[in-house]
Amino acid sequence: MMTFTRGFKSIYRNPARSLIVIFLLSVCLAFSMAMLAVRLAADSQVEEVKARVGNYAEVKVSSNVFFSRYFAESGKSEKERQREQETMTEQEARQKREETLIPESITDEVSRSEHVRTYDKFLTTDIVLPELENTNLQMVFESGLAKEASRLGIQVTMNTFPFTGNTDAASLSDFRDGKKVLVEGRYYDYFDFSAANPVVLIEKNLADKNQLRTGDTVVARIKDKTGREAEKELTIIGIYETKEAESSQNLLGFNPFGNRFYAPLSVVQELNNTPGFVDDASYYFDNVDNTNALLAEFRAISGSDRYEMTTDLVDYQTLADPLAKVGNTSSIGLWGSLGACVLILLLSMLLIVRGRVKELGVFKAVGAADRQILAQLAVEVVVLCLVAVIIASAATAALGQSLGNWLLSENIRTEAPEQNQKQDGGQGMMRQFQGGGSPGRLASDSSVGNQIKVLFGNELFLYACLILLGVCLTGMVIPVVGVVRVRPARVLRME
Amino acid sequence: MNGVEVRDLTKRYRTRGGEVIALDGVSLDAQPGRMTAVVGPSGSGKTTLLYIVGSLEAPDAGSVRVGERDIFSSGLNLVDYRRKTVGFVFQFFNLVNTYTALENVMLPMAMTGVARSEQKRRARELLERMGIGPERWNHRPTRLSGGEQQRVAIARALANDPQVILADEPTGNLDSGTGKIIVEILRELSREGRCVLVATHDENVAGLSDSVAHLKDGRLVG
Repeated sequence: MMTFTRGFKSIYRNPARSLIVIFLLSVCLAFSMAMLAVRLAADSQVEEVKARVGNYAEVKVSSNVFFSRYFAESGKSEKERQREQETMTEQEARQKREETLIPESITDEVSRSEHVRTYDKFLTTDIVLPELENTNLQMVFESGLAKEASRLGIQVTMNTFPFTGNTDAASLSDFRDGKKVLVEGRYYDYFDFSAANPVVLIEKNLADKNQLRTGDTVVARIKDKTGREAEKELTIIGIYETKEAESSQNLLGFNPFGNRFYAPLSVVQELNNTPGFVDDASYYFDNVDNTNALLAEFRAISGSDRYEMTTDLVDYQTLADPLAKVGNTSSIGLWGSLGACVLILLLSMLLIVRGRVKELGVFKAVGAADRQILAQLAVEVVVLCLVAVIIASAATAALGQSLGNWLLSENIRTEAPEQNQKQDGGQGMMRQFQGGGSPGRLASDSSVGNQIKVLFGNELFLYACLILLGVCLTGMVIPVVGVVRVRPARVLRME
Repeated sequence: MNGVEVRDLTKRYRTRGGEVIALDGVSLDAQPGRMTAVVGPSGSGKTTLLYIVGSLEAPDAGSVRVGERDIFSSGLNLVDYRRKTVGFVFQFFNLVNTYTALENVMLPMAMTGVARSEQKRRARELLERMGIGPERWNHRPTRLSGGEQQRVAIARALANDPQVILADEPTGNLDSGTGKIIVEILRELSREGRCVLVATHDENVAGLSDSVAHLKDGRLVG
């Protein structure tokens, strides 16, 4: 207690010097704590981004296959294409369809990877439902899009409807993102997929226009395995409402009125006469860090460059890289300012100890042990640092968020051109051609990387205590050296 | 009370100009109940002798016995020795300027863990005994005269009731009248049974001492 009192009193010996030391320490500590808070926030948000983005992969037929097919078809005249279609057997037509599809055996094998957490597979195609009126397609015909589609070998009629099949309707991104909402009936599930139950979900406006309700049936015109015309009856088990129109990234996927049917994958495969094939498989895997491992596994399984796996690594990098850079910058700031703190404290303690050499000699002469003298100096150091830390904490709370935002905005500004270049040369182009992401991909929350949320919680308090301890201990180096080296016989002779 | 027995004490210092012999085989006995003066000119080794007896310096050779124990070779805790066995009085007082007179006297007791109330009580008693009235107790040394400062220093030396008082030129920084008062206080302390060893170059102080040892160039000359 008396040591504490003596140490505390010593601070008042030179109030101006103590105030200057406290001020300088506060500035440096505030900066270092703000940098630490930003660092912690950046690290935490990188982890948050990692949990949401970067762990999604799609397997599709390579874009090169689509390119070559497009150029091959566009080189033919209208008559040539018409003749080809008339003479083509169903087996040949199926083979042609399968050229742009991927065997389920490959996508299933990839799903067995230790990194894969969830897996779904999709097939989207156009099916003719002769009894249903799809008036919205009138616009497609008037705009000439149907003719363009015909050039690619796709027959579009007024009774053609887009069908999407997967293993479980509830897991479709349209439903999970809330763009479409089931308003009547139920979703089809994995059981329906396994049993190939001929069930469908229909859009509400289309159902109303054709006076259809759950339990009613619609008839699809298909070709059976032998190529003969056949009909397939589909039972409506659910009606959904479109809350957000589908995007029009893709010419052939243009469906702004939402006249899409959803059915179990096995049923869509049967309707398309392509059993065992899908056009897209989606995977959520454990972690963005395992992207390369998953890609390597995929390459080993697919064995050719006909199929490709794309991931949202670029999306992850777009969000996480600025945060990581903020983290690195703040680390440099943290260590720099902590170094300045230590330097300030060491210099001030050097001044204090050198100014008290004789006093230290007197203390030793009257029987003070080194530890007693050091305890008194330690009280001074701790009080100086504690006051500085308290002031710095308040300043950190006021400045931390602004500093974090500024650092992030600076990094996003320098990052932007680089990222755009990546998008144009890689995945972005492929997606544009193929028509956006898979129906299994959930919308990513980009806001998580656009702002930094600097929190002043227990972790920061703990680190502040550790900083206080570390700075105090380092600041005690000079007193320890000074006290141990003081020779009372020498200093007490001086006047 | 124990006396001080110094035998063949040698101390050398290494300086840029070479080795300086501060003490060269000095032997001396200072009895309890007597004031012993060590007299000699500047640089004769008086202060070095006192600092070695007070354990502030270690000798290169020889021994210092206080009572039955050799303070340097018997494994004695020297910090404890400085706290309880010896009390220092310096020429330049060496009071802590940021402490009051009372706090300066309390300081040695604080090092030994005496309760604060007891420290205050004894410090007041000692200051009163040294003629420092209560109105001066809370004054800092800079507001005290030289004589008052030296009396506070003596009170501080007595704080832990030591057997040996080591006074290094206690009158060197005082006028003759005040110096006489200080010497009289030291004599009084010796009469209480303490061993008082005074280093001085003042023959008047030597004349008032019970025994005198003359030092010259680190050797005892009479």
